[in-house]
Amino acid sequence: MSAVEPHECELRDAASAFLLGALSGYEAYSFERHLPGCAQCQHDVHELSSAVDVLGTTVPAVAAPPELGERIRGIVRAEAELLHAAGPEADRPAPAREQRRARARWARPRFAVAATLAFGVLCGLVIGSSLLGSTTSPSTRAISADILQPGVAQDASAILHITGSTGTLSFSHFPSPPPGRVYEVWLEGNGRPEPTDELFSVNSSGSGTAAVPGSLRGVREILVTAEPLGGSPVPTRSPIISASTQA
Amino acid sequence: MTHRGRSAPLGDHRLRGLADEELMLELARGDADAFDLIYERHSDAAFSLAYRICGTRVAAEEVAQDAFLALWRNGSRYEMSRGSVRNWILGIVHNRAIDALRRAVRHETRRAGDEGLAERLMAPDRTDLEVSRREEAGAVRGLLADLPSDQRRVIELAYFAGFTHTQIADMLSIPVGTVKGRMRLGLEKLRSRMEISGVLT
Repeated sequence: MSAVEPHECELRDAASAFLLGALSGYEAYSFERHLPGCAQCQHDVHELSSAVDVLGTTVPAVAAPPELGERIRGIVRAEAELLHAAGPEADRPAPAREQRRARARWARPRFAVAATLAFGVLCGLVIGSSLLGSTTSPSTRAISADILQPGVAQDASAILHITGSTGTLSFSHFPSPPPGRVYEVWLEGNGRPEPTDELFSVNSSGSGTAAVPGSLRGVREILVTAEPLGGSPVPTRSPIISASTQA
Repeated sequence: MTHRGRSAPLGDHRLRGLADEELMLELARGDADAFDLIYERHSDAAFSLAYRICGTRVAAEEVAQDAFLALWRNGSRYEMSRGSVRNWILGIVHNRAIDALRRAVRHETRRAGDEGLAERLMAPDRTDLEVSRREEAGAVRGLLADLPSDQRRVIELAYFAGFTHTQIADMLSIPVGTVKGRMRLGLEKLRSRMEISGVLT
């Protein structure tokens, strides 16, 4: 669709709601898909993003607690040392990524298969170091997920990496989702799985990563299901993996 | 290779002289010292926004940590053409804070602001740049306050309270189209007033 004249696009007012984060996960996903083909909406996003960007600067100033900085810097130092140990390959900047929208929300690894090479190497090192019992990065835990569906290759694996209160899933030799479907990450705290907007697939060799959005606080299990493209607010299939955060 | 060990934390004059955008290139190559400087320059702004949205210090710390680790791990995604590093960071913080808020609602653990003004320790202005940023923030606050109240309200409910346009429509008993229209009008007005007042250059 292309709408260069003002007011012609049926999603005319969606750009402002999108930039303010006021669209639902599915609506935001649809708008992101619509955007590359609509000059009017691209123009709106470009024009209005500067107004949205400054909203975050208008809040009362609060000093970040020193212990927060120490904690974050500690994790970063540990990871940098792992990267350093991995050599020049791990230092190589990641390849240019698909164009994403003007705001930082685009930067979120929604389709995290394209995770950076450096981080991929880091995950490998984290798994390796946990297998070897290394204490190089004590704040990162690697947990093997249970594969719940029959017929998945014997060598398929899914690992949940927990650093502090954040999690990442990495997959190897993992089957692609069925045609017309995409994997969706769910969080289960007490009973009902809650949807996330993390949708992903794996590459032709079955490798991929997915970020677990937000904090793991209160989350008991991470589940992955194959859902219709665009994701689903409720699971339509039984999980293909589950990973316990308590393990 | 751009790594340095613990021997040169924060004291690297070569890095200190670099602009944020240049530091991001170093950070994308795995330079923890570059991250230190980016953190030093933007952690107060990031924490302030997280605290404003989440309402508690604990939740704000989680969000800020999550956002800065994402920045460290995905720094190569930053594109200069898409805006300043500060806005990019605040965008990440905003998204994650809203996610945290919505998840807390789903888990029925959304916490009311449980900390008083005593917790609101003012971040000190360290540099001329920070002073000018604070003045600019004050100017934008004024522009925001001057928006028609119905437009300002939908913008604040979405951006700071994390409500979707359909939730806002329900709360205010107005059609969803009206909510989105007010958002657009408010943002257009804010942008044009920023331009007139010289905030937007």
